[in-house]
Amino acid sequence: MKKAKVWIGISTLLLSVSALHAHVHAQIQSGSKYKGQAEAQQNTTNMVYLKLKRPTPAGTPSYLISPTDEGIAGAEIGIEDANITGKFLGYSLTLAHINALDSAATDAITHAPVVLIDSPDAQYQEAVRSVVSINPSALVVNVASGKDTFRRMHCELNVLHTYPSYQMKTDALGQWLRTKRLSSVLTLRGAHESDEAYLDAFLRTAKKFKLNIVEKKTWQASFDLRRSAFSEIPLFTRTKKPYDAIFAADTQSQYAYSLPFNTHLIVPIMGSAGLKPLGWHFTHEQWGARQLQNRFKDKFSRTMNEVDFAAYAAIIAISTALQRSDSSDFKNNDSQMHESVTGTRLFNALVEGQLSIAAYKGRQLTFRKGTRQLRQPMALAHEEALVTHAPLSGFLHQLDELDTLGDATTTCKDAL
Amino acid sequence: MRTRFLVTGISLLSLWVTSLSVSAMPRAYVTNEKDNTLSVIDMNTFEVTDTLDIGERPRGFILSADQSHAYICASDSDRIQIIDLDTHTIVGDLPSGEDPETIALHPNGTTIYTANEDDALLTVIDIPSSQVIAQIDVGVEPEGLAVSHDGRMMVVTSETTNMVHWIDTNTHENIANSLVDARPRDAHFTADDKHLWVSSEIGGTVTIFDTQTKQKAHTLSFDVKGVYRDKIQPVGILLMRDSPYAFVALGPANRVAVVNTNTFEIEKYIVVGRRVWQLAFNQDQSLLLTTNGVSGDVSVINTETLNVEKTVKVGRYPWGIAVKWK
Repeated sequence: MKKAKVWIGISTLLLSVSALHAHVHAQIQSGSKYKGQAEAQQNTTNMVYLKLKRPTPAGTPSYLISPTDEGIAGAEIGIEDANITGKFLGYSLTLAHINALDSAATDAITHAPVVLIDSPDAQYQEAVRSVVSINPSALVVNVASGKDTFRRMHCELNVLHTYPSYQMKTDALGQWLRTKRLSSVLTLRGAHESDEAYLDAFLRTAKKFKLNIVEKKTWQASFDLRRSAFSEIPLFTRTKKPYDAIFAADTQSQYAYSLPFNTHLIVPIMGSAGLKPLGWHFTHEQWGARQLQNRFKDKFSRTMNEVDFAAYAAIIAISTALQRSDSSDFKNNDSQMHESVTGTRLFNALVEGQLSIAAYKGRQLTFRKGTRQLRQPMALAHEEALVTHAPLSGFLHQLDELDTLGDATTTCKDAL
Repeated sequence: MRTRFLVTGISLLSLWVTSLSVSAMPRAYVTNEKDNTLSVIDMNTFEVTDTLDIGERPRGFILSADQSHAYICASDSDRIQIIDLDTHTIVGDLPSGEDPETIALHPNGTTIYTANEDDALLTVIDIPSSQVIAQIDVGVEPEGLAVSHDGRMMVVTSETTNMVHWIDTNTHENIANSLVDARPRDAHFTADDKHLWVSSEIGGTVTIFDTQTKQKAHTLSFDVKGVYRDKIQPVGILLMRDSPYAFVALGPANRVAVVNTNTFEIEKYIVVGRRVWQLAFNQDQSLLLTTNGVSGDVSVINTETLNVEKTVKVGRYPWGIAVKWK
C-alpha cells in the first residue's frame, strides 16, 4: 500500500513536469546529433572526485601505468547518463575534480554531499578523515581500493565501496580453482603493503575453499626483469613440491607481467597477471554492457577499466537514490530525495533501504549492510577475453549467490 | 560484354530459382545478431530454407503492413534496411540515425519509429518519402517501442533511465514519463489499448499501466522453482488477440511465462532454449516462436497445449523475429 502511494506521488509529479521536457525537432538531418536542453527547474547535487596521486615505482613498464583519467572518465560517463535521466525528473549532478586537499578542495567538499575517493592505500584513511572533518555528513565512496580492512573501518561514517574488495576478487579465483579441480597453489607477492593485503585475502580464500598453499614467496623488486625474465622467473618459481596454479599479488606491476610462460612449472597464473578477477573488463558486452563500452570508447579513446566502472557505479547508485523517496527518514513524505539531498539520506536509502541499482551486470546490485561493499559479479578475464563472471554455478549461499564473493558479514566493527 | 550478359542472365535465373524455392508460406524470419544474417524458416517443415547476408548487428525486425517487405535494424551499419520478401534482396534503407536497435510501425503503415540506442533518441520516419519527421529526446538507451492500436499514442522504454516515455503520435510530444523497475525492455498495448505491459529485465518484473491515467495497475513478478531470482529476467512480451493470455520471455531463466490476463496469475512456465529473448505468433496465434540467444535456436510453442513442439537451429544470437503469412 505504501509503495503504491509513493508511486502515485512520483507519477503525479512526473505528469506535471513532463510537458516541460518535451523536445521535438522537426526535419533533423540524418546524422546530426541533438542535445536536449532542460528548461525545467533542476535540483543540482554537487559531487567531488578526489584523486590522490599514485606514485609509480621505478621500473614499472610504461604500458602498465594507469591512464591519468582513470576513474574520472567512468564518473564522467556516469554523470552524462544520470543527467539524461535527471532531466526528466528535475535533478542534475555536477562533478568537480580535485587532486589535493587544499583550500579549493575544502570549498568544493563543503558543498558536496558526495565525495568519491580514489587514493593509494597509504593515504586512504587520512583522505576519509579529512573529507568528513570538512563535511561530516558527506557520503564517501571508495572507488579504487580493494583493501579488506577498509571495509571494517569508519563504521559510524557514511562510507560505501563500489570497487570490489580483494576478498571478492580472490573468492572468484577460489571458485574457478575449485571448478577446475586445481588445489595446490604457489603464492607470490611483491614488497608493497597492498600486495600483502591482496595475498592475505587469497590466503583466506584458500582456507575457505580448502586449497593447499605449496609455498609463499616474495619478489624483492631489486632489478628490472624485462631483459632477464626467462632466466630469473624459473628460479623464483621453483619449489620443493609441485603446484597446479600460481597466485601473484602485484598491485604495483613490478613482476607479475613476466610470469606467464616463464615459470618453473607451466601452470595457470592468476591475480595480477594471467587470469584476473576484475570489477569490469572491456570485453564484457552482455546485458547492454556493449552500449556503455561503446559510449566510453567514443568519448575517451580508450577502453573502460574496473576503476572507471567503480566510479560509474557510484554515480549511478547516487542517481538511483535521487529518483526515489527516502522511506527511512521521510516516512510521511513522498517527495523525491533530490529535493533535499544529504549524504546521510543517500547512505540510508542505499544501505538501510537496500536500494538496488542496475549497472550492466545482469543482476540487481545492492550494498552489504555490514561492510557497505557493493555486491557485484566479478569478471574473470585475461588480456583478450572474458572467461566468465563469478559467482560460478554450484557455489551457493543461503541468501544471495553474490554473497559467495567476499566478506558478507553483517557487522562492520569486528576485526577481519 | 557478352560474358557479362551471360553471367547476369545466369544470376537472374538463379535468383528466380531461389525465389521459387523460398516462396512456401508461411515463413518466419530471424535476425542473427552475431552472424549479420537473416534466417528464413519454412513454417510448414520448420526447416531453415535460407540464410541471407544483411547489415551488421541486425536486431529489431518488423514486417510492412502488407508483408511484402520487412525492415531490419542493422545497428552497427547505422541503418534500417528494407528487404523485399519475394526476392529476398535488400532494396534500400531508411534514414535511421545512429545505432537503431528496435523498430515499430504505426497502424497507418507509413510511419516507422526507431530507438537510437547510443544517442538517447527516438526517430520518427516517414516511409514513402524516406524522411526523418522528428527526433525526440528520451532516456539513456531507448529500447522497447509500442504503438497503440488506435495509433494515437506510442511509448518508448529507456533501459538505463528506467522509464517509460509516453509520446503523442500527432504532435510528437513527450507527454509523460513513468519510472519502472530496472532495465525496461519490451512494451505492448493490450488489444483494447486500455493497458500497457512493460517488462523490466533486471528488476525481474512486468509493470501493467492504465493507459488513461498512466498509473501502475499491476506488477507481475515471477518465481521459478530451482532458478535464482536474479536469473529471471523478463524481456519479450506478447499478448494474444482473442484469448486472455500473455507470454513473457524470461531470458536466462530459459522459460516463457504464461500469464492469464484476467487474473494476472502465472499459469505455467514453458522451458525453451537458453536466454530466451523475443517472441512472435503465426497468423492464427496457434504457434508462438521464441528466439533463444545463447543456444542459437528458435523454440516453437503450441499455444493450445503450451508445449514446445520443435526447436529450430538458426545463427548466432538470434534476436528479432516475425512471421509472414500473406
